[in-house]
Amino acid sequence: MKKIILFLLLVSSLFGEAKVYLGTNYGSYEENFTNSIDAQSSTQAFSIKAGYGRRGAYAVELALEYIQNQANIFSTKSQSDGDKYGMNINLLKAYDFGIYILPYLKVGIGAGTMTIDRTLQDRLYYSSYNIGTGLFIPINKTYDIELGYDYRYTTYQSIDTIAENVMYKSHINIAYLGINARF
Amino acid sequence: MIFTKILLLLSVTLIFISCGENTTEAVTSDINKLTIDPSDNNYQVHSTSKLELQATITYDDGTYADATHSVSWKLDSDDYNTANLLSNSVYPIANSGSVSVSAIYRNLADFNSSVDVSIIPLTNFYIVPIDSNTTGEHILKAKGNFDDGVNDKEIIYNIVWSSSQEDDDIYIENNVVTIDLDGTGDRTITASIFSGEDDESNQTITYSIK
Repeated sequence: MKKIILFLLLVSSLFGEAKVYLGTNYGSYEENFTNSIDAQSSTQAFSIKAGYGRRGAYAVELALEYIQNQANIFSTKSQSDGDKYGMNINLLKAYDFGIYILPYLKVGIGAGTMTIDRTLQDRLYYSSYNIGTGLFIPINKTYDIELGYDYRYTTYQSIDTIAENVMYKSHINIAYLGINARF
Repeated sequence: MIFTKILLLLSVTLIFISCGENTTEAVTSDINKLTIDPSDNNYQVHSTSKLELQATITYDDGTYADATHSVSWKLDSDDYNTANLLSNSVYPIANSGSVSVSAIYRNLADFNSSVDVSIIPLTNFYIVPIDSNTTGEHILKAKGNFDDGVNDKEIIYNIVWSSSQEDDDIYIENNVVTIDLDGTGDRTITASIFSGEDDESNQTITYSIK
């Protein structure tokens, strides 16, 4: 019971004066598959997000993501992998050093899906471990601009070749610019 | 000022990342067809042996891979009195006939391959005589002559060994007969082929050792 009370006190202190915030990010996305295959994807990523926390402390953030897909890595029939739709949950810690900007670090997990066109599969799911860093640049008490970088280690659902299930992994780098509104 | 610098830095980063290339060809070739190899549909098995089948998946780029253990193997329901199928192995239980065996993946009609396996009948068989100068334990074997001209082929399946003197100098375990030649007295072993069949394929011979 003591532990629970202490945990609740800790959480409440972490999120003291917390606010809900909404935001959107737009960025550049580059994906390189691990050394089993030579494949890469370079495109744009767009996300909308909702978070709860303090601008200069901890926050929890849920982001829905759209990634335009300009590469074809899995599809064999129509030569077009579909766009990616994903969701990421991150825990974010920002630091207020009194220098106007607020750097932050974040960790989280993500998952998503995309359509593909193969004989045995028409959809592929993926999941990722995320880490990131960036800056909040306050405009006023409500709005701030966000500059950030995310790294994701992504694992795709296996490709069924009958003889074996081939699983691909990739490294994803995303640099983005965003804007947040805090309420 | 610092804001401008950060924006400039991020813009350069975005441009740098955006310069990457996009792969346009699938990295994993798609499946094309499933076959049972060899694909000449000329499968035969001697009635006292087994036949192991192999499934191969061919890809769009011409490469292929062994899919024997990825597919489901099925025996036509009319053929259960002629052979048994255990995974990819056909075990005849009759001395003649043919069976249809299919390899199928996830019940997909496009990935279903079938072959007919014919059984080569055994015409006669014999128990391999034991050298009278041999001592110690000896495993008794039977060999057969088949309809396709193959002679003296060891009989592995569809043979049942028996002896009224078991546990004396004769041990039968897992259908393998071991005789202790250091024993004395007359010993008699009987071998029956296709003992469950009610036709001429059911043959029995007796072998005696003095």
